[in-house]
Amino acid sequence: MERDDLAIDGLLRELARAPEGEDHAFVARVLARTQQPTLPRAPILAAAAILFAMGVFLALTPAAPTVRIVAVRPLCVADAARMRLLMKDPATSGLLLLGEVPVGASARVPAGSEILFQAVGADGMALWTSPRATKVAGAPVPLDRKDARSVEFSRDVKPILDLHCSGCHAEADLVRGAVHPFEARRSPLVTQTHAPLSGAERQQLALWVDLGATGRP
Amino acid sequence: MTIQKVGEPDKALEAKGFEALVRVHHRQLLSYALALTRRPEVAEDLAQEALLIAHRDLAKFDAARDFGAWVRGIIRMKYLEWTRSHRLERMSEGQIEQIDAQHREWDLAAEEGRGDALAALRLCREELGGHIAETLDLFYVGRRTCADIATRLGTTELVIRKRLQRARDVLGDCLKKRLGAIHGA
Repeated sequence: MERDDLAIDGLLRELARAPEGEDHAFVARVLARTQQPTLPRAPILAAAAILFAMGVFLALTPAAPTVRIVAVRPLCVADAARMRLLMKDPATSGLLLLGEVPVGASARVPAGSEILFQAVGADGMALWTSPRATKVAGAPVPLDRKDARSVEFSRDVKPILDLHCSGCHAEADLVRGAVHPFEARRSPLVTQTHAPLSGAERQQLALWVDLGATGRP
Repeated sequence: MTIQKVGEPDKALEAKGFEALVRVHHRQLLSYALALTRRPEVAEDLAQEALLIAHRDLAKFDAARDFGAWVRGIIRMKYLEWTRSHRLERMSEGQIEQIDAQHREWDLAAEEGRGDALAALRLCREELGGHIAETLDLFYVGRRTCADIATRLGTTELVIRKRLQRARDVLGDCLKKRLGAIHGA
């Protein structure tokens, strides 16, 4: 085929493919696909990339009082606004919140600790939680409790439920059916409550659920 | 770490604008993909993927540029990926550039109100008659091979190839006339 023919050949093929003019089916397919949410994959990839980088770094790090974690900036960080660093509490086996860092930033965690990561969306709720803890190299050091935060049901959650919910709902029923541990954004207690919660109260409930919803009745 | 604050775009307006762009450009983009791949199913996939990438990156698109040319660039990249992954022989850079140049001219003709290439081609096609029209229909609409058409029309494959070549030449000249002198320059 001559060079000049190639573009005309394309036009002829298009004319034969859709002789009626606008191809409504094609347009509809494209527009439908633009509506499909593509969010979950990005934070998972982001968190996985960071987790991998952290794991490699930690595995190669010699014993030290503290370990510096250098996270790489992954290619896909569309919805992972920041990373939450969690540590297994050696005393209770619950999770402690060590802090939140922007994706790509650095953080320090105690040597010898077992840590987990959570990718957190702009709404403050977890998008993804690492499925298992990573053991940080080095001899364990005593944890300075002021550097870690726990969320306890009796201290941090129950007062909110007592204030807003207990008038109509039994506490146990409310918590049992409406909480998916580690998944605040799937938990009706956080996302579907009709109680007039303040932003801070809702964040507190979400954090408690995202940290595993421990201590619930 | 640098945090870049980006203004919140009006999502509804953005969606409407993108839909309008798709409606205006999709057939030319499919023609371009078909010129590269010659396979309707593949061309639809490539054009669709390219439009989804364009939708994703719409915020980066400079409105002063030509949307069709931008998406053609994405289709071209997708075409090269496709030939690589399927281990197919690809068109030469020169051939691809020739197709690009032709589409730029058709875009310009549309922009200047001299007509739409597909609509003009339809009219040109209707002017054809006899063996040429029949051969074109069997090849493009019926998607038959040259050998098959030759058997059906009681002639040789070479004659069919020449007939198709002649048909494209005639249609090319007709398009030039309908879209103005700049076409094919």
